[in-house]
Amino acid sequence: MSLSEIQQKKQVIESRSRIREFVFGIQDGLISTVGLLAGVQGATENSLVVIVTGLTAMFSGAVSMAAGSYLSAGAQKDIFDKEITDAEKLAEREPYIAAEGLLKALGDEGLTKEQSYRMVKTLLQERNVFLRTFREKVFGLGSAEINQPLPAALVMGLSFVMGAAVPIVPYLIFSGVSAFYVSGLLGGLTLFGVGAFKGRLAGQSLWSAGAQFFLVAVGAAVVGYLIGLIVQYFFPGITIPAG
Amino acid sequence: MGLPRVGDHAPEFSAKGFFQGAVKEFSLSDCKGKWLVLFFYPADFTFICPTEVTGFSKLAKAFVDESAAILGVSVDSIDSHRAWAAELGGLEYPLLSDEDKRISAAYGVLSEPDGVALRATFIINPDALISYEVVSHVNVGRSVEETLRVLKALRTDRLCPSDWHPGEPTGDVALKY
Repeated sequence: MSLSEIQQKKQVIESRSRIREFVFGIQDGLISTVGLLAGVQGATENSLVVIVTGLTAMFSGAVSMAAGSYLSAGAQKDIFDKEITDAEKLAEREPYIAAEGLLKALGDEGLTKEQSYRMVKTLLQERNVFLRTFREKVFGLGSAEINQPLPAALVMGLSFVMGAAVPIVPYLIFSGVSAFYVSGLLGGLTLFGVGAFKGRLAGQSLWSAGAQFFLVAVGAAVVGYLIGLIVQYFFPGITIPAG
Repeated sequence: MGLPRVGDHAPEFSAKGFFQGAVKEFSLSDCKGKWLVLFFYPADFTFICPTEVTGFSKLAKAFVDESAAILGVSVDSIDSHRAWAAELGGLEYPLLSDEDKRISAAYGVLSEPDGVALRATFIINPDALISYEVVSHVNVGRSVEETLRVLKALRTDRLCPSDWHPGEPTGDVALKY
């Protein structure tokens, strides 16, 4: 790896941290839409109704998920920002305590007392560097932990649309039960593909990462279906809507 | 072991110390016949301790002028003291290594949870009796000026009022308190 690649690595890592929203969005969009379309298709012979229902759920779901992601990332960021401010105020107000805290943190990471002391003494010569190191090492408040709300929301929303679109497309081409089977098949292949993509980023076996992803996502859908069956068994008059 | 009381014989000790490039043995009996300022501190290579350690070094001559020796004690090794003294630019008194923590325990200043000595200062008179002792929380550094002031007051062998300084009136000990 070249020096310029190392220097760009931080941005690459930050962009790859979006994987959480990507996986969540695609998986939720796909699974919820497959279930919804299956339920609507079972209740009506009209493909147009199925497709419109699917598209409506796709866009409304994307907006809802994006809003949720924005709010949750925003809440986390607000709390982190406050903790960072408090940590820096503590270091300003009690420099000796901050220095001793960083000394201990470096010692806990394996440096000798002498090494830790020299490192902290050097960092103290540059206030901003000391403050940043102090909050990262002592309180674990690194920039990588902070999810930016707007990018998180965009990735979540777009991923949801991508996931939801997969099971809808077969209904544009096929009809009836055939559309359902193709929709399910495409959904399964997409889940496997997303898992394999994650595996590639994480340096794992594509097959095992894909299979794990597929089994967890489909397993969750099957459990949800079974819970619906159990509820219907005990409450025969109740019909559980798909999705 | 509890804190010895003022008036008690100072607990005997003998330990290796580092002073101006050399390692040798230091003991309480070496100091018999002169005043001894024995101060304990938690650890080398921390950020409150250097202010005191260098503080005593800066005023070392003033203590010598009062016929007093200074010995600093912590539970660090001799090698640590060697590096610490170098880091601080050299010291005017020895640093003793109490790695087995016996001296700290004997003087009642060992902090059991941390395994380090508390910040404690003992002024021991020429008869090896404890004349003054102060122990504080590890977070609070001592006043070296105050230690010197107390030493001077003790050496008058007279009654000294609060915040007494040399040149100010003292009282005959026959007056009692």
